[in-house]
Amino acid sequence: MPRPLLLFIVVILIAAGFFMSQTLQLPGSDEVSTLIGPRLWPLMVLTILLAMTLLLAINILMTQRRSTAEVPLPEDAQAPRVLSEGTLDQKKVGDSENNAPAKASIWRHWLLLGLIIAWTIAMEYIGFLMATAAFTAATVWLLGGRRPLSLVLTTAVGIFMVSIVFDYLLNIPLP
Amino acid sequence: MLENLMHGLAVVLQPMNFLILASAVFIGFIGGALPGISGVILVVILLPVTYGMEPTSAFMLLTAIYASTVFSGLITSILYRAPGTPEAVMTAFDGYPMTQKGEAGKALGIGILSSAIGGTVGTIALIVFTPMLASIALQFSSPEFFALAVLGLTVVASLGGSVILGLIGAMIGLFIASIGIDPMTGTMRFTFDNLGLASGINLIPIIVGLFAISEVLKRAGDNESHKPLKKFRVQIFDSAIMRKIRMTLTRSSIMGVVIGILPGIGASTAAMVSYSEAVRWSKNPEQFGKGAAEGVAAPESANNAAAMGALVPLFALGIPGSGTTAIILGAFIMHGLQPGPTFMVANGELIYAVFVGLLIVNLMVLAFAKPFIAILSRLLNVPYAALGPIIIICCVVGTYSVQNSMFDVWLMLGFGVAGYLLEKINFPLVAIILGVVLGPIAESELRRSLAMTQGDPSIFFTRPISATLLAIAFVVVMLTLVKPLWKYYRSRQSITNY
Repeated sequence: MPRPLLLFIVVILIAAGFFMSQTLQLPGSDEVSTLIGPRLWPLMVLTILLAMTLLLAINILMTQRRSTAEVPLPEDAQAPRVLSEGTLDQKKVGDSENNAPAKASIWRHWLLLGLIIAWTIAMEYIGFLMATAAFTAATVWLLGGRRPLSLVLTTAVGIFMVSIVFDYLLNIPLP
Repeated sequence: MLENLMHGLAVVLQPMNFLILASAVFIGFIGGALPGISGVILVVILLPVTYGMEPTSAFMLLTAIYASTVFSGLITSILYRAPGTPEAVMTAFDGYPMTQKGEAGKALGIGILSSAIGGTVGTIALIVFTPMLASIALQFSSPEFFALAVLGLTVVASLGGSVILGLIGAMIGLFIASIGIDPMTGTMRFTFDNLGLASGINLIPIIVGLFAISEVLKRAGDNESHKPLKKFRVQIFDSAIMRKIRMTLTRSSIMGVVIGILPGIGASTAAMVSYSEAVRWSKNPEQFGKGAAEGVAAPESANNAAAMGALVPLFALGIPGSGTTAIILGAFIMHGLQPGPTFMVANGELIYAVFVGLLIVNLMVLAFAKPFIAILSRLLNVPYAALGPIIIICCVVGTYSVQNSMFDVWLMLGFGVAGYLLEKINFPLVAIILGVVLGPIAESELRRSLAMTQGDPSIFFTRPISATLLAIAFVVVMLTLVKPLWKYYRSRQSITNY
């Protein structure tokens, strides 16, 4: 089974199981003044969710068994992605070495997420405008903007948009 | 009626009123194009500004902003897969692949034309059929609304990709919608004593996170997408495209009007349902999700028609048909007006001025969209290194401003990471949105229906409308589940025969 899908199935089963235990602690119909209690709906939804997740696991196992029996994949092939029932994407999930993303970009999205989190925390301590200026400059750099003009202009646009458009013109509350 | 419309036109053409209308369209264009700033936010922001205005001018302004934001949400949805408004989520499904194929101008042209046609059809329906359609909607009771929500959920079967993943997504969405205080009993569900979760999870952090933040994260790790947008020319009138999408436009506009009239369903659902119908009626359903012209035309005509349709119950019954019309209802009450059955008689001048104003807004969309997009696309054509942080700032500020909540910002980031990871397995993210949108309607109407019969579920099958809607939903899901098995059986048969 493709690893990302296996991980997804495991996470959903654990989460649905956990919330199912929480749901069973909610008052039932006989414990509340209304005819139908707050437990029924989440119980129905989680039951279908669990059933669908198990069905997905079975479906993938069956599809994979069928496809490996019919068209054996080369040993070095990466796991194929499931596109729909009965069809597997034979294109590799990743890319070949020739067009693999540059090393710097492999972690870039996680670094960007780190920057967003740092900005969100920093705005409570050093103020929204200061934090936004620093965040904008750092993000432009991270995403490959190396020209000083690009750095300065984007930071200026970010600050202008926040202070003039959002705050002054639209009167939108800022964090 | 014609006399009233002429009188309304005279009111709209007064220089001050016309200026207000044009300004409203421009504000709506900008607001709708910024991801995370919805029509609701803009109407709420401008509500205090209307206090000092004449009621007619005030409601022309608010309804024009409402109509133009529904349109302009398509711009960033098509160019950056960052829907400017929730109504434009489905537009990204085919609009963005068209942009990736270098057909941004074509996609925008289809979107503009479809929006203007859908909006005009919706406004004409609003004017002509208000009393009749309102009486039909009045016949709907809880079982019919529940059945309609179930039918809406079956859209996941038409989204392309794995149906099971789509159903899982819808269930995740339905579960997310159940978080918070149960409105019927006051019981806290899955809040873990966190006050931020007590009122439930707002739709904005989910949409912005799943679609906009996940896209920025994806682009950050992808060298290919750092190329700026190719130059494009917006083509609004193209006879070949018109021939291709005319049936989709007709069907989706009518569906949009009907769905918009039903209270609480809204333009986002109209876009989703019309998209699924476009797939169902298409001779080439496999092209959807890869840049089909009908995939842009269907949601755009339906959401604009539905936005106008949502005004029908507001004016005729005093019941809002969507989130934004609920705010507009509040604005009416703040101005000392109470929409309802007698409202049209007592305030004919206001109502007809609003109707004519909305017709003119749709013409303005056609006339001004092209120059507006030309200006906006210059801004959007800057390198992603510069655009990425600006989009993130818009997302964070837009999400925060809905409830002044940093908790919502953290939720949005969480959904952003989830969306990024889910896309690795080709997960249909829109199914989650569908569940979140339809969850509250489905649950409350199910419970009300069961309460009507002391817990007997046969009520859904003994009432003709709900039984028909549920039967259609069942057939749709079964057909989609059985189709691959049938294909597999046929292929085995042909191998055996060979």
